[in-house]
Amino acid sequence: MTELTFPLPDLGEGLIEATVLEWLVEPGQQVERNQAIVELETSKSALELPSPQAGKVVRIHGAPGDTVNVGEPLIVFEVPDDTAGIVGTVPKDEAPKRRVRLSAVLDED
Amino acid sequence: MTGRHTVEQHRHTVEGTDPGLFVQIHEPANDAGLRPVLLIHGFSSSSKLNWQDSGWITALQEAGRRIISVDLPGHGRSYSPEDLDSYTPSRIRADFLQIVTDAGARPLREGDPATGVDVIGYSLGSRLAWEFGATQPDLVHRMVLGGPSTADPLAAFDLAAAQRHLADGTPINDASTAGLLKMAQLLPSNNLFAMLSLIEAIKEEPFDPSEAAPHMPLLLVAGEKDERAATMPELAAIAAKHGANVETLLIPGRTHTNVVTSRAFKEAAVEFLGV
Repeated sequence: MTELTFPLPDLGEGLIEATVLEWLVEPGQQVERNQAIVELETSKSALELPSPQAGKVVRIHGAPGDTVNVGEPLIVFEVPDDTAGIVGTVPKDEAPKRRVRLSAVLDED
Repeated sequence: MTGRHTVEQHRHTVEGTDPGLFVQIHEPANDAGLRPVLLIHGFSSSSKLNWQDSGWITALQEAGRRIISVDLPGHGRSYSPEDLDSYTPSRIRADFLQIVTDAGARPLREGDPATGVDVIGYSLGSRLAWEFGATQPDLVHRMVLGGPSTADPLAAFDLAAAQRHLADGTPINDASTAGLLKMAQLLPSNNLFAMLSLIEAIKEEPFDPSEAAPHMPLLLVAGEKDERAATMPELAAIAAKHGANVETLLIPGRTHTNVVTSRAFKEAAVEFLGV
């Protein structure tokens, strides 16, 4: 297993920071890609951030009311070693991800 | 995710002119068989900011709802017409009627959950929804009005002071006017001329909630710290006086800006409209 850290992404419109309103996931929780993970407020609007990754949440950064700068760590996932996105494995990364998502849908049915 | 998709509705003229409003239809993966939901965003926002980025489109799609989103004139990806008439609330309501009809909404028929349309508005969008529901009782089934108010801060906007400020930097005395102008200037994508045209047009048709009140069931929602929605109880009383079944919900700790992403708000709206 590998830990994968995601920083607060560039939110566009020249924004450099966001305030955490509420976390929608917690450490230990398994999340799907694109699942909403946190509510944030910027100087312009409030938004939900979708998860960039499927995996188990290891850590979250910023309590409600805290400010996080763009580029600072926001969330850390634990993922299998072969999906950690190491340079050179990117093409391999695509196919398994699709299979995982397909089987997840079948399971729900 | 299978089957969930979004398409842009094609444009055509209404009353002889093309309103140029950007409309999208968001289909759910599994349709619950209920009437479509029209989303009306607030001043200086857009369907993207108010509904997409905040997670509303996803939440409604997951509930099996078909969604019609529209950007107000001069907002988001809609045109910024030169003429003032395009920005009047009455013209915008006529455009909404055409848009929902084009999207397949049909007049309400007793016992048929696919007929009619549900509406969710936020702030200025709630004002427009209030009037739309009041004037389209045969079409609108239920409405959720977020950050609603009996007041009309846009009609009270000091246009002369704003124009002086834009011309030579003269400070604006009225705090509400200064705040609204700042909001309009925050997004580089906003067309300031169009924002001021909308304000000018709204001054011609200021909000009077008692003049025409909706009769269908209403859910009014605001953040506990939302000063702009402080008059929500009065608005609820007006609707109740006119015979509407009104529920209200205050979301703890939230403001006019940040109540929009609230899970409690979305869940209450989905449940209220899910009948």
